Amino acid sequence: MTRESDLLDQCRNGKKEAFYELVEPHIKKAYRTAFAILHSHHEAEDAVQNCLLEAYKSIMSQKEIQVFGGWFHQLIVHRSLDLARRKMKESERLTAAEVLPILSSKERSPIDKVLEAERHDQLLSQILKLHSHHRTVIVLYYFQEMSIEEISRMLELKEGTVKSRLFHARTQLSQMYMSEPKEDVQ
Amino acid sequence: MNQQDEQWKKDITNALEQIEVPDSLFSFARELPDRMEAELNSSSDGGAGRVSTISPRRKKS
Repeated sequence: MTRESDLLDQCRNGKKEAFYELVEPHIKKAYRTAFAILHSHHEAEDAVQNCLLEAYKSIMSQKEIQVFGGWFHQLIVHRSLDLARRKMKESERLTAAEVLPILSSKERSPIDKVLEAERHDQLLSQILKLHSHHRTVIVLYYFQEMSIEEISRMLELKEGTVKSRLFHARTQLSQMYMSEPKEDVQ
Repeated sequence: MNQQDEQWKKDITNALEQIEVPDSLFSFARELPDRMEAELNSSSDGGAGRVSTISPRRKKS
């Protein structure tokens, strides 16, 4: 029996702490996935909370869950996509000023860490500027490590379309990243 | 995944990991079983029987 299936059993037997132990390792990745798809703090937080609620109800109703981590991440992707489709019409986008406060403000003393963090922050800003179609496939393929086939099924797209969106997303990221003005380091 | 893809995966993962995750989500997960139990009890007493997902982040500073 794996640790996850043991925790699932403990939840079902009424051990409340087991639920937190089960979901805690997945919360950060779930939130980052939801945020990258939805481009909104409030919606990402709502999506994760709703998924936690759905996960708890599923566990307690004895739903068969083979691999909890994989199941939970599929759930967050589905729910985030549902929300994204609903808000597609609104097509709201955060400005750079709104994006920046979400970035980690942890101090990194060694200069190489600072530069590396700046590079990651720049790439994140570029990812968030992508069209939602392109952003979603990038997140599912590289962050959620889903295959082209899985993405194709989930988004109800042909595999060729998924590959094409990945290609265009990478091209745009490369172009945006190359054209991003770099500040001189003092 | 080829080598170039592996590099993209590393860069994109590192970039997305810069996103800070609100602490309220961890509190929500920790408190959820108790809240569900309380809601169920309240439901059997004639209450609404529904867990709210409104978290403390809604508070204005």
